[in-house]
Order: sequence, then C-alpha cells, then structure tokens
Amino acid sequence: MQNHVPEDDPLRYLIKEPRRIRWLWAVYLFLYAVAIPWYWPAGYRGPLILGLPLWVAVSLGSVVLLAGWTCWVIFRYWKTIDGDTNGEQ
Amino acid sequence: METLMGNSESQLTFGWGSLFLITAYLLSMIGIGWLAHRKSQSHSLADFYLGGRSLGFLTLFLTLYATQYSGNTLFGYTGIAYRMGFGWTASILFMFSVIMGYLLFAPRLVVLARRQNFITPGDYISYRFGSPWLTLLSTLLMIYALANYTLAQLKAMGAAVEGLTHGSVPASYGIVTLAIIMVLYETLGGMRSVAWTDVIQGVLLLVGFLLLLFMVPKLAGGLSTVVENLTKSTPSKVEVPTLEGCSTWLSYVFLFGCGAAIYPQAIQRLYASRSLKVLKRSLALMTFMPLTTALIAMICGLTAIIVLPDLNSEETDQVLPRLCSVIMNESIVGYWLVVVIFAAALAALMSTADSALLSMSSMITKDIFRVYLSPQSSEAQLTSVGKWCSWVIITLLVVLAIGTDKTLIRLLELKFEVLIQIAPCFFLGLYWKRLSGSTVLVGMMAGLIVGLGLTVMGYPRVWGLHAGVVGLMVNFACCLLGSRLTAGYQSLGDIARSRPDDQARSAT
Repeated sequence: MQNHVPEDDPLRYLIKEPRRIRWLWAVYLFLYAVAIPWYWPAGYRGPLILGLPLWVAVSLGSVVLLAGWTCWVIFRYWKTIDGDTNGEQ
Repeated sequence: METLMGNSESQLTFGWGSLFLITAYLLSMIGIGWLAHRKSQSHSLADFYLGGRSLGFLTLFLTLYATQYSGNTLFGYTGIAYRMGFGWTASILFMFSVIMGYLLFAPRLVVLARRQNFITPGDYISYRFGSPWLTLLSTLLMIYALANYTLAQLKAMGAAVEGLTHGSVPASYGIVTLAIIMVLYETLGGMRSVAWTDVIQGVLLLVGFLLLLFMVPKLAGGLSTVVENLTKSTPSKVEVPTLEGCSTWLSYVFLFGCGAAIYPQAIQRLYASRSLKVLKRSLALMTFMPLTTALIAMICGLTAIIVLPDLNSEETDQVLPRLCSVIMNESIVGYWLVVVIFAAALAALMSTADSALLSMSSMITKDIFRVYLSPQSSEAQLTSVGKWCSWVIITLLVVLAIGTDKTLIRLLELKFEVLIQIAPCFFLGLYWKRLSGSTVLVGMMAGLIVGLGLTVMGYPRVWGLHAGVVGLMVNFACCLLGSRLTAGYQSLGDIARSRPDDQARSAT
C-alpha cells in the first residue's frame, strides 16, 4: 500500500494494517468455522466440560482463541509511521 | 420490556435505604457532568463532542464497554436464552465480532480522522465520497437508527422504575426523571460527561454481571445440574443447533460485525482516543468482554428455565427481575446484592442512551444544521445549538416513549436493517479507490429496499439470514458491480486535493 501512496495522502502515516495481511484472515476463517457449530451431528450434546455441553465448550474455546488472536493482531500488525500517536507528528 | 417487573410475583420491593442509594448514584451523575463542564477547554465541537480527543485508556475502555452493552444485554439476552437454550451461545460470538468489525476499517479511519479533524461519521463520508446526497442519506439513517435505540432504552428505564417502586411511581415519571438527569449531565460536559459517567456505569455493569454469575446458577444447584435437568426436561435446549440455526449464527456475525461496529457513537469513540496506543489497548481488552457479559446473561437465562419454569413468551423479558426477586427474598446479603444489580441495569440503560443522544446531537448540528441552515456559524454557536438540540431530541423521544402507538412499534424496532446499509461506506470505501459516491448511494438504496421490503412483507429471516443481511448482500453486489464499471484510480490524496473545503480543514 505505502509504495503507491502519494505524498499528500493521509494514509501514508499508516505503515501496517491487519486487513492487508491475508494469512491473518485465513486464521480468522478457521476459528470462525470452528466457533459456529455446523459440523456436529444433528441433536448432539456430548459430555459436559466445565458444566457446558461439549459443542458449547468448543464454540466458547474458539471465541477465547479469536479474542487472543485479535489482541496479537492489534498489537503486531496495526502501526503508524510515527508510533502510536494516531498519525500525528 | 414494557412488562418488565410488572407481574406481582416478580416485583422488586426496595426499602428507603436502597432507594436513597440509587437516588444518590443518579445525582452523582449530574455532579460528574458539572466537573466535566469545569474541565472543558474551549467551546469547539471537538472539545464538546469528542472530549478534546483526550480520552485515556481506562475512560475509553469503560465508555466503549458501557456503550456497547445496553439494557438489552441484561434483560433481552436472558429472555432469549430462556427461550432458545444453548443456541444463544451465538451472542458471545457476535458480540466479539463487533471488535473484529473495527479491525477491518478502524486503522485507516483513525488516521484520517486525526489528520482531517473528523467529528462525525458524516465528516468521513463527505471527505471520502464528496457526495452531499450520500452524506445526507447516511446521516438520516444513522439518526433514525439511534433514535430507535434510545427510545428502547427509555421505555426500559420507565418499566424498571415502575417495578422498583412497586408501581407507585408510574413508568412515565421514571422516563421523564431519568431523561432529565441524562440530558443535564450530557449538555454540561458533552463527551467528557458521558465518558466519565460511563466509567462509573461500566464498573457497576461489570460488578453486576459478576454478581449474577456468582448468585444465579446456585439457585438451581450449579451449572452442571442445570444442564442435566435441561437434558431431561427440554433436550432441544442443550442440543447443537440445526444447519438453519447455524446459518442464523453466521447472519448475526455479519449483522453485528458490520452493523454494531458502525454505530455513530462507537465511531466517535474511535475518534476521541488520546492516542493510537490507548485505542489499541482498549479494543484488545474489549475482545474478551463478551465472556463477562453475554455469556453470563445466557447462563442466567438457562438457570431460569429450571428455577422459573413455564413462563410464556411475553414473560421471558422478566426473567432477570424474577431471578433477582428470588435472590433478594433469600437473605439480607442477597437483598443488597440485588440493589447493586438494579443500579447496574440502570447504568446499562443510561450509558447507552446518553452516548446515542450525544451522537445524534452532533450529527444534526454538524452534518445538517451547519451544512444546510447556517454554514457561517462559529464553533461556539454550533456547540450551543448542539446542546439545545439534545433537549429537543430527548423531549421528542420521551413523548414517543410514553405514548407510542402499538402499530408504530414494529417500525420503531427497525435499526440494524437500516444502519447496516451504511457499512460499505466504511468497509469498502476506505479500501476500494474506484468506489464512487453514486455507486454507494445506489447500493444503499437497493439494500434498504430489500432489507425493509422483506421485513415489511413478513420475512424477517430468509434461510436463517436476517433481512438486513440479505439487503447488505445486494448492497455489496451493487458496489462491486459499480466499482468494476467505473474506470480510473483516485487515491484519498487525490480526493482531498480536489476539494478546497477539505484542504482548508486539513490545514487547520
């Protein structure tokens, strides 16, 4: 992105953004696919994990992973050219 | 929500001590408004509507939290979990998806907002597309959605007060009193007041949810016992959803990821952060909050199926007050814990309503009054108009909340179906340089016609997908087609250069 940004484009201050990194979204796609319980047999409940049916525990586990993954993505792949000052010099 | 705590079995009868504490809490909100007024640095719009873009980590995080989780999370979600069972695990996923929605557009929007001094979402739309019609339509849709949102909070406030006082204070008195308190502190200090009161309201809400997690499952012998009993009595409530149910989960993810993430009050909080570091920390922490709110609301709803069996569909909105009624009758500790939970419920309602009210006032003042009625007004004059505007909006909404005709209710419930059609402006507009204002406008109209048309014709869901999401698909398809047909590349720099107004704004 930055290679093509003109001098007066405000977005030149943004040097890293998650949306541009495709493999990050592949991980999101995988975690969402696990979180939505489409792959269990009809009428399934499963054993209780921490008081929750297995399929619920798996969905919640995926949400926890999604949250942790998002934290990492936010801190690792969202950066401006002048640090953390919202693009202000 | 109108029937909240209205049934004799579920009435919460608080004594004078607890009523005094709740009154003191409400009056302290006005005190905070006064402090925020003293702290204001100028009469500029940025100072009033964005707190001078100076919100620190704790304030930003708690105002995002208190604004995102409304009274509906407490009352509505417990009722839905009662009806649906574990299928409502979807709520935890879609509340998380709001933060993922931010991640898809906030990095660019935040940089632009700082450099171009955006106050409202309309400022961005005007800057990016340069289409007055698109800006006007988007602003009107956002105001409509927020008005509905605030109206729902006001009605719930009235029902809560009526229940609290055993019916001796009518709902209308509760609505008027709480609305006056809200608008007083909001007009005193603008975003500072709202954000600072959100700090207290956010902490109360968090404490309220944790107390619910601590007390409610015990009523039925713990979560495992609840699930075992449900498996025997209503197995469908613990079984995995059908494929159509899973399709609805996906639809909710789009509805909240694209709709709730572009609530104007949420976007203005992105603008108002002190720095990117503060914003990133706040959003990172917000990713975990569905586990402390929506998950707990679901557990309460599930426990209620065992503790309060055989509620009919209308009564399920009373699940939480009825559970509280059971808890407060058990012990004096339970009584005081329920007082805290009740204060948390008021906090949830007020923190959402005040943010929406401030946001509506900013859009009417900046995007409509200034553009169409008084382009020469100074910032101080506009700020003053904004304060009057808040009083006018709240008066109209209070009148509607007290006297809404039943035939109007369905119309007033529509908000996501409408709001979500603005999503392409942000999710595509920040990335697709060839996307023009006219294309987005056509897509928005097509999305609205499909979304509202399906709803009005009695198809709120199609193959498990919400009507608004189906409309959004049509909207996105129009944008895709339109941008393919449009030749030429324009960077955001080109767009800025081509408009003298924006050059001037950028220079200031």
